[in-house]
Amino acid sequence: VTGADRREEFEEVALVHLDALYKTAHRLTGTREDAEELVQDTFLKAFRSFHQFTPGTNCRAWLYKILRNTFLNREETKKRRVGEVALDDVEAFLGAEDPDLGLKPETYERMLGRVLEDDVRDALMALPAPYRIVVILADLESLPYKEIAEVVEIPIGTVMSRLFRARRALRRQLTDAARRYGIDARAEA
Amino acid sequence: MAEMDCNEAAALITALVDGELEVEDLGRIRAHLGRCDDCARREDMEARLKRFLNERLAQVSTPPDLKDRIRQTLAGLDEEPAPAGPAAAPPPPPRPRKPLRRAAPPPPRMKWWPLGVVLAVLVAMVAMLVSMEGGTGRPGGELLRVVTDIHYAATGAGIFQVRTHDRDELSRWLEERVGPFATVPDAAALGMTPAGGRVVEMGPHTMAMVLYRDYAGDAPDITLLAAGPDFTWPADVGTAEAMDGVPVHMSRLRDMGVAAFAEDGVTCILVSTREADGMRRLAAAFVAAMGKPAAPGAG
Repeated sequence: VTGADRREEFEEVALVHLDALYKTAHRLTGTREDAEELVQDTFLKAFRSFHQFTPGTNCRAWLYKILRNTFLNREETKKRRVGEVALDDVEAFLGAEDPDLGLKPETYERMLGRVLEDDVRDALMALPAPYRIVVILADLESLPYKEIAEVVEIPIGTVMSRLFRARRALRRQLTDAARRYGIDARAEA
Repeated sequence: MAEMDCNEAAALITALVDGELEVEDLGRIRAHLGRCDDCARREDMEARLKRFLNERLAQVSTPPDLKDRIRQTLAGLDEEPAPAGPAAAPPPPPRPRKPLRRAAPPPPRMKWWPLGVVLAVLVAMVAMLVSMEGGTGRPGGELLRVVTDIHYAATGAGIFQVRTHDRDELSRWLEERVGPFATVPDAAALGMTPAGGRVVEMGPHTMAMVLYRDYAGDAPDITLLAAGPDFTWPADVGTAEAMDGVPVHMSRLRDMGVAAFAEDGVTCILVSTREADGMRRLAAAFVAAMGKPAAPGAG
Protein backbone atom coordinates (compact mmCIF):
# COMPACT_ATOMS: atom_id res chain seq x y z
CA VAL A 1 0.00 0.00 0.00
CA THR A 2 1.48 3.31 -0.98
CA GLY A 3 1.24 6.43 1.10
CA ALA A 4 -1.11 7.92 -1.43
CA ASP A 5 -3.47 4.93 -1.27
CA ARG A 6 -3.51 5.04 2.45
CA ARG A 7 -4.24 8.74 2.39
CA GLU A 8 -7.03 8.26 -0.05
CA GLU A 9 -8.63 5.63 2.10
CA PHE A 10 -8.24 7.80 5.16
CA GLU A 11 -9.93 10.68 3.42
CA GLU A 12 -12.83 8.50 2.40
CA VAL A 13 -13.32 6.83 5.74
CA ALA A 14 -12.21 9.41 8.27
CA LEU A 15 -11.91 12.86 6.81
CA VAL A 16 -15.55 12.80 5.79
CA HIS A 17 -16.36 13.30 9.46
CA LEU A 18 -14.55 16.61 9.53
CA ASP A 19 -17.65 18.73 9.97
CA ALA A 20 -18.95 16.72 12.90
CA LEU A 21 -15.56 16.75 14.57
CA TYR A 22 -15.05 20.42 14.00
CA LYS A 23 -18.40 21.29 15.52
CA THR A 24 -17.67 19.19 18.54
CA ALA A 25 -14.18 20.64 18.86
CA HIS A 26 -15.51 24.16 18.59
CA ARG A 27 -18.03 23.54 21.33
CA LEU A 28 -15.45 21.85 23.47
CA THR A 29 -12.77 24.48 23.20
CA GLY A 30 -14.89 27.56 22.80
CA THR A 31 -12.77 29.19 20.13
CA ARG A 32 -12.23 28.73 16.45
CA GLU A 33 -8.44 28.72 16.76
CA ASP A 34 -8.37 26.04 19.42
CA ALA A 35 -10.94 24.01 17.54
CA GLU A 36 -8.86 24.06 14.37
CA GLU A 37 -5.77 23.02 16.23
CA LEU A 38 -7.61 20.27 18.03
CA VAL A 39 -9.16 18.92 14.87
CA GLN A 40 -5.87 18.99 13.00
CA ASP A 41 -4.14 17.17 15.81
CA THR A 42 -6.94 14.65 15.96
CA PHE A 43 -6.76 13.82 12.27
CA LEU A 44 -3.02 13.67 12.39
CA LYS A 45 -3.09 11.19 15.23
CA ALA A 46 -5.87 9.27 13.58
CA PHE A 47 -3.90 9.03 10.37
CA ARG A 48 -0.85 7.78 12.19
CA SER A 49 -2.80 5.08 13.93
CA PHE A 50 -5.10 4.39 11.04
CA HIS A 51 -3.72 0.86 10.83
CA GLN A 52 -5.31 0.22 14.22
CA PHE A 53 -8.73 1.14 12.96
CA THR A 54 -10.85 -1.86 12.06
CA PRO A 55 -12.51 -1.23 8.73
CA GLY A 56 -16.25 -1.49 8.89
CA THR A 57 -16.46 -0.42 12.53
CA ASN A 58 -17.71 2.95 13.64
CA CYS A 59 -15.10 5.38 12.40
CA ARG A 60 -16.83 8.41 13.81
CA ALA A 61 -16.76 6.97 17.32
CA TRP A 62 -13.12 6.09 16.83
CA LEU A 63 -12.34 9.64 15.79
CA TYR A 64 -14.32 11.11 18.66
CA LYS A 65 -12.33 9.02 21.05
CA ILE A 66 -9.09 10.38 19.63
CA LEU A 67 -10.50 13.88 19.72
CA ARG A 68 -11.50 13.48 23.32
CA ASN A 69 -8.12 12.12 24.37
CA THR A 70 -6.32 14.83 22.50
CA PHE A 71 -8.49 17.44 24.09
CA LEU A 72 -8.02 16.10 27.60
CA ASN A 73 -4.26 15.88 27.12
CA ARG A 74 -4.20 19.50 26.12
CA GLU A 75 -6.21 20.47 29.13
CA GLU A 76 -3.68 18.59 31.18
CA THR A 77 -0.82 20.53 29.69
CA LYS A 78 -2.59 23.68 30.64
CA LYS A 79 -1.78 22.54 34.12
CA ARG A 80 -5.14 22.93 35.54
CA ARG A 81 -4.98 22.56 39.24
CA VAL A 82 -6.10 19.38 40.76
CA GLY A 83 -9.55 19.87 42.03
CA GLU A 84 -10.17 22.94 40.01
CA VAL A 85 -13.64 22.98 38.72
CA ALA A 86 -15.98 25.30 37.01
CA LEU A 87 -19.31 23.77 37.63
CA ASP A 88 -21.23 26.79 38.66
CA ASP A 89 -23.99 24.49 39.59
CA VAL A 90 -23.65 25.30 43.14
CA GLU A 91 -27.07 25.23 44.67
CA ALA A 92 -28.13 22.30 42.63
CA PHE A 93 -25.79 20.13 44.59
CA LEU A 94 -27.14 20.35 48.03
CA GLY A 95 -30.38 21.55 49.35
CA ALA A 96 -30.96 24.82 47.62
CA GLU A 97 -34.05 25.69 45.70
CA ASP A 98 -34.21 25.49 41.97
CA PRO A 99 -35.92 28.70 40.91
CA ASP A 100 -36.51 27.43 37.39
CA LEU A 101 -38.88 24.74 38.49
CA GLY A 102 -41.64 27.24 38.98
CA LEU A 103 -41.36 28.63 35.48
CA LYS A 104 -44.23 28.41 33.09
CA PRO A 105 -43.32 26.59 29.91
CA GLU A 106 -43.94 29.64 27.77
CA THR A 107 -41.82 31.85 30.02
CA TYR A 108 -39.05 29.32 29.96
CA GLU A 109 -39.25 29.05 26.19
CA ARG A 110 -39.06 32.82 25.88
CA MET A 111 -36.11 32.98 28.23
CA LEU A 112 -34.22 30.49 26.12
CA GLY A 113 -35.17 32.47 23.05
CA ARG A 114 -33.51 35.56 24.43
CA VAL A 115 -30.21 33.94 25.19
CA LEU A 116 -27.31 34.92 22.96
CA GLU A 117 -24.75 32.79 21.23
CA ASP A 118 -22.12 34.01 23.67
CA ASP A 119 -24.22 32.96 26.63
CA VAL A 120 -24.52 29.45 25.29
CA ARG A 121 -20.80 29.30 24.72
CA ASP A 122 -20.01 30.65 28.17
CA ALA A 123 -22.41 28.24 29.81
CA LEU A 124 -20.83 25.33 27.98
CA MET A 125 -17.33 26.45 28.79
CA ALA A 126 -18.24 26.74 32.43
CA LEU A 127 -18.90 23.02 32.55
CA PRO A 128 -16.01 20.82 33.54
CA ALA A 129 -14.66 19.09 30.45
CA PRO A 130 -16.00 15.61 31.29
CA TYR A 131 -19.49 17.04 31.48
CA ARG A 132 -19.09 19.30 28.48
CA ILE A 133 -18.10 16.52 26.15
CA VAL A 134 -21.00 14.33 27.15
CA VAL A 135 -23.59 17.01 26.60
CA ILE A 136 -22.05 17.98 23.28
CA LEU A 137 -22.08 14.43 22.03
CA ALA A 138 -25.64 13.90 23.19
CA ASP A 139 -27.22 17.16 22.15
CA LEU A 140 -25.13 18.35 19.25
CA GLU A 141 -24.25 15.04 17.68
CA SER A 142 -27.26 13.12 18.98
CA LEU A 143 -25.13 10.10 19.70
CA PRO A 144 -26.86 7.26 21.53
CA TYR A 145 -25.76 6.64 25.11
CA LYS A 146 -24.00 3.48 24.07
CA GLU A 147 -21.79 5.33 21.66
CA ILE A 148 -21.10 8.16 24.09
CA ALA A 149 -20.11 5.60 26.69
CA GLU A 150 -17.71 4.09 24.18
CA VAL A 151 -16.19 7.41 23.20
CA VAL A 152 -15.83 8.75 26.70
CA GLU A 153 -15.02 5.33 28.16
CA ILE A 154 -17.47 5.47 31.00
CA PRO A 155 -20.48 3.29 31.84
CA ILE A 156 -23.86 4.24 30.45
CA GLY A 157 -25.09 5.10 33.94
CA THR A 158 -22.35 7.66 34.18
CA VAL A 159 -23.30 9.10 30.82
CA MET A 160 -26.78 9.62 32.21
CA SER A 161 -25.71 11.17 35.47
CA ARG A 162 -23.30 13.51 33.71
CA LEU A 163 -25.94 14.52 31.22
CA PHE A 164 -28.43 15.14 33.94
CA ARG A 165 -26.09 17.35 35.86
CA ALA A 166 -24.60 19.08 32.85
CA ARG A 167 -28.00 20.05 31.53
CA ARG A 168 -29.12 21.25 34.88
CA ALA A 169 -26.05 23.44 35.13
CA LEU A 170 -26.57 24.71 31.59
CA ARG A 171 -30.20 25.48 32.22
CA ARG A 172 -29.34 27.49 35.30
CA GLN A 173 -26.73 29.46 33.43
CA LEU A 174 -29.05 30.16 30.53
CA THR A 175 -32.00 31.23 32.61
CA ASP A 176 -29.70 33.38 34.69
CA ALA A 177 -28.52 35.03 31.49
CA ALA A 178 -32.12 35.63 30.45
CA ARG A 179 -32.83 37.17 33.82
CA ARG A 180 -29.92 39.50 33.32
CA TYR A 181 -31.57 40.61 30.11
CA GLY A 182 -34.56 41.55 32.13
CA ILE A 183 -36.87 38.64 31.73
CA ASP A 184 -38.01 38.16 35.24
CA ALA A 185 -40.01 35.05 35.55
CA ARG A 186 -41.65 36.15 38.73
CA ALA A 187 -42.89 39.33 37.14
CA GLU A 188 -44.51 37.27 34.44
CA ALA A 189 -45.72 34.40 36.51
CA MET B 1 -44.44 -3.51 39.22
CA ALA B 2 -44.19 -0.77 41.81
CA GLU B 3 -45.47 2.67 41.06
CA MET B 4 -42.76 5.11 40.23
CA ASP B 5 -41.95 7.82 42.72
CA CYS B 6 -40.43 11.23 42.00
CA ASN B 7 -36.92 10.15 42.85
CA GLU B 8 -37.01 7.37 40.35
CA ALA B 9 -38.67 9.59 37.79
CA ALA B 10 -35.99 12.25 38.22
CA ALA B 11 -33.36 9.66 37.49
CA LEU B 12 -35.12 8.57 34.31
CA ILE B 13 -36.20 11.87 32.82
CA THR B 14 -32.82 12.39 31.23
CA ALA B 15 -33.02 9.06 29.46
CA LEU B 16 -36.61 9.79 28.52
CA VAL B 17 -35.82 13.01 26.67
CA ASP B 18 -32.91 11.28 24.96
CA GLY B 19 -35.16 8.49 23.81
CA GLU B 20 -33.13 5.93 25.65
CA LEU B 21 -35.71 4.38 27.95
CA GLU B 22 -36.66 0.74 27.87
CA VAL B 23 -40.27 0.03 27.05
CA GLU B 24 -41.32 -0.97 30.55
CA ASP B 25 -39.76 2.12 32.11
CA LEU B 26 -41.36 4.23 29.44
CA GLY B 27 -44.80 3.07 30.45
CA ARG B 28 -44.16 3.60 34.12
CA ILE B 29 -42.68 7.06 33.76
CA ARG B 30 -45.47 8.17 31.46
CA ALA B 31 -47.92 7.04 34.11
CA HIS B 32 -46.02 8.98 36.73
CA LEU B 33 -45.79 12.13 34.60
CA GLY B 34 -49.50 11.88 34.03
CA ARG B 35 -50.22 12.32 37.70
CA CYS B 36 -47.26 14.42 38.89
CA ASP B 37 -47.16 18.01 37.67
CA ASP B 38 -43.72 18.71 39.08
CA CYS B 39 -42.11 15.84 37.25
CA ALA B 40 -44.05 16.61 34.10
CA ARG B 41 -42.71 20.14 34.23
CA ARG B 42 -39.19 18.88 34.73
CA GLU B 43 -39.57 16.61 31.76
CA ASP B 44 -40.88 19.47 29.67
CA MET B 45 -37.96 21.69 30.65
CA GLU B 46 -35.43 19.01 29.88
CA ALA B 47 -36.95 18.36 26.50
CA ARG B 48 -37.05 22.04 25.61
CA LEU B 49 -33.50 22.51 26.71
CA LYS B 50 -32.35 19.59 24.61
CA ARG B 51 -34.08 21.00 21.55
CA PHE B 52 -32.63 24.41 22.26
CA LEU B 53 -29.10 23.10 22.66
CA ASN B 54 -29.42 21.04 19.54
CA GLU B 55 -30.38 24.11 17.55
CA ARG B 56 -27.88 26.47 19.06
CA LEU B 57 -24.91 24.18 19.25
CA ALA B 58 -25.18 23.30 15.60
CA GLN B 59 -24.59 26.88 14.56
CA VAL B 60 -20.94 26.40 13.80
CA SER B 61 -19.48 25.98 10.38
CA THR B 62 -16.22 24.40 9.49
CA PRO B 63 -13.67 26.85 8.10
CA PRO B 64 -13.76 26.24 4.33
CA ASP B 65 -10.03 25.68 3.98
CA LEU B 66 -9.59 23.39 6.95
CA LYS B 67 -10.02 20.21 4.98
CA ASP B 68 -7.36 21.22 2.52
CA ARG B 69 -4.99 22.19 5.26
CA ILE B 70 -5.41 18.79 6.89
CA ARG B 71 -4.90 17.09 3.53
CA GLN B 72 -1.70 19.01 3.03
CA THR B 73 -0.45 18.08 6.47
CA LEU B 74 -1.14 14.42 5.79
CA ALA B 75 0.53 14.58 2.40
CA GLY B 76 3.53 16.21 4.05
CA LEU B 77 3.83 13.22 6.36
CA ASP B 78 4.56 10.90 3.48
CA GLU B 79 7.61 12.87 2.56
CA GLU B 80 9.12 12.70 5.98
CA PRO B 81 11.62 9.92 6.33
CA ALA B 82 11.75 9.96 10.11
CA PRO B 83 8.59 9.47 12.10
CA ALA B 84 9.53 12.08 14.66
CA GLY B 85 10.39 14.95 12.39
CA PRO B 86 9.90 18.34 13.94
CA ALA B 87 7.41 19.34 11.30
CA ALA B 88 5.22 16.41 12.17
CA ALA B 89 3.11 17.93 14.89
CA PRO B 90 5.23 18.00 18.03
CA PRO B 91 3.52 15.70 20.53
CA PRO B 92 3.11 18.09 23.43
CA PRO B 93 2.54 21.62 22.23
CA PRO B 94 4.71 23.83 24.45
CA ARG B 95 1.87 26.01 25.50
CA PRO B 96 -1.37 26.31 23.71
CA ARG B 97 -2.05 29.79 22.60
CA LYS B 98 -4.33 31.50 24.95
CA PRO B 99 -7.12 32.86 22.86
CA LEU B 100 -8.17 36.35 23.69
CA ARG B 101 -11.77 36.53 24.54
CA ARG B 102 -13.32 39.68 23.33
CA ALA B 103 -14.79 41.71 26.14
CA ALA B 104 -15.67 38.51 27.86
CA PRO B 105 -15.16 37.91 31.55
CA PRO B 106 -12.50 35.39 32.45
CA PRO B 107 -13.75 31.84 32.28
CA PRO B 108 -15.69 31.03 35.41
CA ARG B 109 -13.27 28.33 36.44
CA MET B 110 -10.64 31.00 36.87
CA LYS B 111 -12.68 32.74 39.43
CA TRP B 112 -14.17 29.80 41.21
CA TRP B 113 -11.04 28.21 42.44
CA PRO B 114 -9.56 31.31 44.08
CA LEU B 115 -12.93 32.09 45.49
CA GLY B 116 -13.04 28.65 46.94
CA VAL B 117 -9.69 29.21 48.54
CA VAL B 118 -10.76 32.52 49.94
CA LEU B 119 -13.89 31.01 51.32
CA ALA B 120 -11.71 28.25 52.55
CA VAL B 121 -13.50 25.19 51.45
CA LEU B 122 -14.88 23.92 54.64
CA VAL B 123 -14.74 20.32 54.08
CA ALA B 124 -13.22 18.10 51.52
CA MET B 125 -13.79 14.47 51.21
CA VAL B 126 -11.57 12.24 49.25
CA ALA B 127 -12.30 8.76 48.20
CA MET B 128 -9.84 6.70 46.34
CA LEU B 129 -9.63 3.58 44.46
CA VAL B 130 -6.73 1.67 45.80
CA SER B 131 -5.09 -1.45 44.59
CA MET B 132 -6.58 -4.11 42.45
CA GLU B 133 -7.23 -7.69 43.53
CA GLY B 134 -5.46 -8.82 46.66
CA GLY B 135 -3.67 -5.54 47.04
CA THR B 136 -1.25 -6.26 44.25
CA GLY B 137 -1.57 -2.74 43.12
CA ARG B 138 -0.67 -1.05 39.92
CA PRO B 139 2.34 1.11 39.56
CA GLY B 140 1.27 4.33 41.12
CA GLY B 141 2.58 7.81 41.34
CA GLU B 142 0.00 9.22 39.07
CA LEU B 143 -3.38 10.61 39.75
CA LEU B 144 -5.43 8.59 37.38
CA ARG B 145 -8.43 10.68 37.50
CA VAL B 146 -9.84 13.48 39.47
CA VAL B 147 -13.51 13.96 39.59
CA THR B 148 -14.38 17.08 41.33
CA ASP B 149 -17.65 18.32 42.44
CA ILE B 150 -17.80 21.41 44.45
CA HIS B 151 -20.64 23.15 45.98
CA TYR B 152 -19.91 26.30 47.80
CA ALA B 153 -23.11 28.13 48.27
CA ALA B 154 -25.50 25.97 50.13
CA THR B 155 -23.22 24.70 52.83
CA GLY B 156 -19.90 26.15 51.87
CA ALA B 157 -18.51 22.70 51.64
CA GLY B 158 -16.32 21.26 48.99
CA ILE B 159 -16.31 17.73 47.85
CA PHE B 160 -13.49 16.12 46.04
CA GLN B 161 -13.27 12.69 44.71
CA VAL B 162 -9.86 11.54 43.78
CA ARG B 163 -8.80 8.20 42.51
CA THR B 164 -5.37 6.90 42.45
CA HIS B 165 -3.65 3.60 42.72
CA ASP B 166 -1.01 5.13 44.88
CA ARG B 167 -1.74 5.80 48.48
CA ASP B 168 1.28 8.07 48.86
CA GLU B 169 0.06 10.15 46.03
CA LEU B 170 -3.19 10.61 47.83
CA SER B 171 -1.37 11.62 50.97
CA ARG B 172 0.60 14.20 49.11
CA TRP B 173 -2.51 15.46 47.47
CA LEU B 174 -4.22 15.74 50.79
CA GLU B 175 -1.35 17.47 52.43
CA GLU B 176 -1.27 20.03 49.69
CA ARG B 177 -5.00 20.62 49.67
CA VAL B 178 -6.08 19.82 53.13
CA GLY B 179 -2.99 20.53 55.14
CA PRO B 180 -4.05 24.00 56.19
CA PHE B 181 -7.38 22.80 57.42
CA ALA B 182 -7.88 23.52 61.05
CA THR B 183 -8.12 20.64 63.40
CA VAL B 184 -11.17 20.22 65.47
CA PRO B 185 -10.65 19.90 69.22
CA ASP B 186 -12.07 16.45 69.59
CA ALA B 187 -10.63 15.11 66.41
CA ALA B 188 -8.80 12.41 68.29
CA ALA B 189 -12.04 11.05 69.63
CA LEU B 190 -13.12 10.40 66.10
CA GLY B 191 -9.76 9.07 65.07
CA MET B 192 -9.20 12.00 62.78
CA THR B 193 -5.77 12.68 61.45
CA PRO B 194 -4.15 16.02 62.26
CA ALA B 195 -5.31 17.24 58.90
CA GLY B 196 -8.79 16.56 60.04
CA GLY B 197 -9.22 13.52 57.95
CA ARG B 198 -9.64 9.91 58.59
CA VAL B 199 -9.30 7.02 56.30
CA VAL B 200 -11.66 4.16 56.60
CA GLU B 201 -10.59 1.02 54.88
CA MET B 202 -13.53 -0.46 53.14
CA GLY B 203 -12.16 -3.36 51.23
CA PRO B 204 -9.50 -4.13 48.73
CA HIS B 205 -10.69 -1.59 46.20
CA THR B 206 -11.74 1.42 48.07
CA MET B 207 -11.32 3.58 50.99
CA ALA B 208 -13.20 6.50 52.29
CA MET B 209 -11.91 9.51 54.01
CA VAL B 210 -13.59 11.92 56.29
CA LEU B 211 -12.21 15.39 56.37
CA TYR B 212 -13.43 18.31 58.24
CA ARG B 213 -12.46 21.68 59.45
CA ASP B 214 -13.63 24.37 61.69
CA TYR B 215 -14.88 27.28 59.73
CA ALA B 216 -14.19 30.63 61.30
CA GLY B 217 -15.31 29.44 64.65
CA ASP B 218 -18.65 28.42 63.28
CA ALA B 219 -20.05 25.01 63.67
CA PRO B 220 -17.79 22.70 61.75
CA ASP B 221 -19.00 21.51 58.45
CA ILE B 222 -18.34 17.93 57.87
CA THR B 223 -18.62 15.99 54.77
CA LEU B 224 -18.34 12.33 54.48
CA LEU B 225 -17.91 10.43 51.34
CA ALA B 226 -17.83 6.75 51.18
CA ALA B 227 -16.87 4.81 48.18
CA GLY B 228 -16.80 1.21 47.33
CA PRO B 229 -18.05 -1.19 44.74
CA ASP B 230 -19.66 -3.31 47.41
CA PHE B 231 -20.90 -0.51 49.52
CA THR B 232 -24.55 -0.08 50.22
CA TRP B 233 -25.84 2.62 52.41
CA PRO B 234 -27.33 1.18 55.58
CA ALA B 235 -31.02 1.82 55.53
CA ASP B 236 -31.18 3.36 58.96
CA VAL B 237 -28.29 5.76 58.52
CA GLY B 238 -29.11 9.26 57.57
CA THR B 239 -32.73 9.10 58.45
CA ALA B 240 -33.92 11.78 60.80
CA GLU B 241 -34.40 9.18 63.53
CA ALA B 242 -30.93 7.79 63.23
CA MET B 243 -29.61 11.29 63.33
CA ASP B 244 -31.70 12.26 66.33
CA GLY B 245 -33.36 14.87 64.25
CA VAL B 246 -30.14 16.51 63.18
CA PRO B 247 -30.70 18.05 59.77
CA VAL B 248 -28.64 16.33 57.16
CA HIS B 249 -28.96 17.09 53.51
CA MET B 250 -30.00 13.64 52.65
CA SER B 251 -32.66 14.72 50.26
CA ARG B 252 -30.13 15.39 47.57
CA LEU B 253 -28.23 12.21 47.99
CA ARG B 254 -30.00 10.51 45.21
CA ASP B 255 -29.71 13.55 43.09
CA MET B 256 -26.16 14.28 43.61
CA GLY B 257 -24.28 11.93 45.82
CA VAL B 258 -25.25 8.64 44.45
CA ALA B 259 -25.93 9.68 40.92
CA ALA B 260 -22.87 11.80 40.64
CA PHE B 261 -20.48 9.40 42.11
CA ALA B 262 -21.84 6.10 40.99
CA GLU B 263 -19.25 6.30 38.31
CA ASP B 264 -17.24 3.54 36.86
CA GLY B 265 -18.68 0.96 39.14
CA VAL B 266 -17.71 2.78 42.27
CA THR B 267 -20.49 3.79 44.53
CA CYS B 268 -19.94 6.86 46.52
CA ILE B 269 -22.12 8.54 49.01
CA LEU B 270 -21.99 12.10 50.01
CA VAL B 271 -23.45 13.62 53.07
CA SER B 272 -23.03 17.14 54.18
CA THR B 273 -24.20 18.81 57.30
CA ARG B 274 -23.32 21.72 59.49
CA GLU B 275 -24.10 19.70 62.54
CA ALA B 276 -20.91 18.30 63.90
CA ASP B 277 -22.65 15.97 66.29
CA GLY B 278 -24.83 14.65 63.58
CA MET B 279 -21.91 13.88 61.40
CA ARG B 280 -20.10 12.27 64.26
CA ARG B 281 -22.95 9.91 64.76
CA LEU B 282 -23.23 9.37 61.08
CA ALA B 283 -19.54 8.66 60.82
CA ALA B 284 -19.77 6.21 63.69
CA ALA B 285 -22.71 4.50 62.07
CA PHE B 286 -20.86 4.44 58.84
CA VAL B 287 -17.84 2.82 60.38
CA ALA B 288 -20.04 0.33 62.16
CA ALA B 289 -21.76 -0.50 58.92
CA MET B 290 -18.42 -1.16 57.36
CA GLY B 291 -17.73 -3.59 60.15
CA LYS B 292 -14.30 -2.15 60.59
CA PRO B 293 -12.84 0.17 63.11
CA ALA B 294 -11.22 3.30 61.88
CA ALA B 295 -7.85 2.71 60.38
CA PRO B 296 -5.03 5.15 60.79
CA GLY B 297 -4.80 7.94 58.26
CA ALA B 298 -3.19 7.66 54.90
CA GLY B 299 -0.17 9.62 55.74
